[in-house]
Amino acid sequence: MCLLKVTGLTKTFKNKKDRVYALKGIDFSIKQGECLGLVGESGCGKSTAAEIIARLIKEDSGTIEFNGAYITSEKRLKCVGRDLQMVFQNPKDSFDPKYSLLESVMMGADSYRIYSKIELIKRAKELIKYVGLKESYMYKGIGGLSGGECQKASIARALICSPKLIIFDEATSALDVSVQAQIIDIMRRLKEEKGVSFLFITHDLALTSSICDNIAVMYSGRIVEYGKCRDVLCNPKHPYTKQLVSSVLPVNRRCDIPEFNALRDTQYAPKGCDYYAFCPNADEKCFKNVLHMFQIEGRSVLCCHADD
Amino acid sequence: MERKKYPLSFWILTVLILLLILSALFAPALAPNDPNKTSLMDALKGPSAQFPLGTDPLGRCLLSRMLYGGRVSIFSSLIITACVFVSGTLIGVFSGYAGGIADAVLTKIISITQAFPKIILAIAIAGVLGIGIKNTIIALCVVEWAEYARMARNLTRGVKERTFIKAAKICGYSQFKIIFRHILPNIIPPLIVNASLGIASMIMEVASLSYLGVGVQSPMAEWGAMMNTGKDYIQTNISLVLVPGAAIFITAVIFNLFGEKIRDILDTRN
Repeated sequence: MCLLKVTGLTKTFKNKKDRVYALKGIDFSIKQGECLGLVGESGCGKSTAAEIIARLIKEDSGTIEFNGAYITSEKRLKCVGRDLQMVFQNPKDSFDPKYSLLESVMMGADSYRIYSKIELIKRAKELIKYVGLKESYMYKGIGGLSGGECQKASIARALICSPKLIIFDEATSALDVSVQAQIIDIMRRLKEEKGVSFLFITHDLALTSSICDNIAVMYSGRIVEYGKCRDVLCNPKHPYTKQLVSSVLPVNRRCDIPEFNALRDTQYAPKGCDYYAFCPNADEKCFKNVLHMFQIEGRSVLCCHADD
Repeated sequence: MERKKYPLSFWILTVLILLLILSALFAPALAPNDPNKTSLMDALKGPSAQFPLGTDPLGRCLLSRMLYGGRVSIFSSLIITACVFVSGTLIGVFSGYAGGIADAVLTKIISITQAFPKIILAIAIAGVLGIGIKNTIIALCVVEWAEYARMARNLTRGVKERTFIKAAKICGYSQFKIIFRHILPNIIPPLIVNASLGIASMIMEVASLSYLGVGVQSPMAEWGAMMNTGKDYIQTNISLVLVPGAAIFITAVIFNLFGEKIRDILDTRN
């Protein structure tokens, strides 16, 4: 059963003079207990998609079906907030410095009144231990915690209502590799033990391959390739995905850094294709064919001609 | 959360402020004479056992008038500061949090209010409303709220963009709860510092209005009004200006130092 189904999501932001298209119609779905990785370069619309799903900002058009209900019309998340939580990129800023760790974790369930005060304290303490934080931190302010510890505390706060889906919005980007591994370990445990689903937004393809079942590669507000994580990363089809995968540098040897120079002028790009300037496969067919999601080897690829 | 230790200087200044407030509060018990009793026989006398700081041109005890004057000066400035602090903060938080048209309109009103020279506007308002301490308080409230509103609005806009506000929204917090549990606790410390520093300038503004003749009127004792009375005798009897002037100076310095100490304790630079 689909836990989250996003269809035709679009969003524009008003700049002083013109409009910036952040999302140009994206579709994806997440099943119960599944992890979807949303990858792509900075500014491609990953975080905007996450914030729309979490009802922090409103979309222009499109629908979001979560847990059998359409949440697109909801202004606030309270209706589904118990089942949908989010972990943010900046761990330290995710907590109000005025409150202790225990109070901050308890805030996750404060508004839903699902536990009595004693139960809430007990559950918060259990979760703080579950994510691997010391008991001595509980009554201290967040200021004394490291970035990794804050991120674990964020996960504890997200877990307090036993959500079905947690959005990780670049939650590992600001952390060192050892803490990243610990966070991935917590995610794996949650997935296996509690069947929690994840929308994992990241730049890091290695992390994506270690935790995600499916992957959606975004470029300039569109999903350009979407399929099983292993298939997409091992055998990418879209030229942008190929470029992205080839940019991952191996740790054990020196290698050439791939170039990201524009091959041609975007001014004459065919309608709808944002990758034309960089695309090595671009030719006169780009102008004849319409941009379309093709099914190629079990995954969806956005392109104008699939015969390549 | 761990409690902060306060430095000794903070306690000394707190005791001094309490002494100032208590001396104003118990002025009737402390004053050696009736502050409004005139006696032309005793006019412009120097310090004596009966009048420890001498007398004014109408023979009224200077020390008694200074103690009674403190009541008006200190309490009126505390009332004004409290009023502008509460009203300015509420308006500023609403403007900053709501954003959009409400923010644009309120910001323009704040800018217009701040564009007027404060004392001139206060004189105009006090002049229209009539002379008296109540109208002085209203006039200064109308002039001063904008500073707190602007500060609260800017601080709110800064806090509103922080990640923990997004986290609170996802945790199902209402707008009201976000404002009272997250926005206000984070913006209040710098506003408190501003208010404690503002008390000193408020004492001087009340005194200025009284000195200019639109504040407190005779025979009520007030430091600014006392200086107004004494200015004609500055060549012959300087203590008439010096005594209330020193009272204003000392009180302002104590409140200023107290405000700076609070700023150090709350460390609002971060």
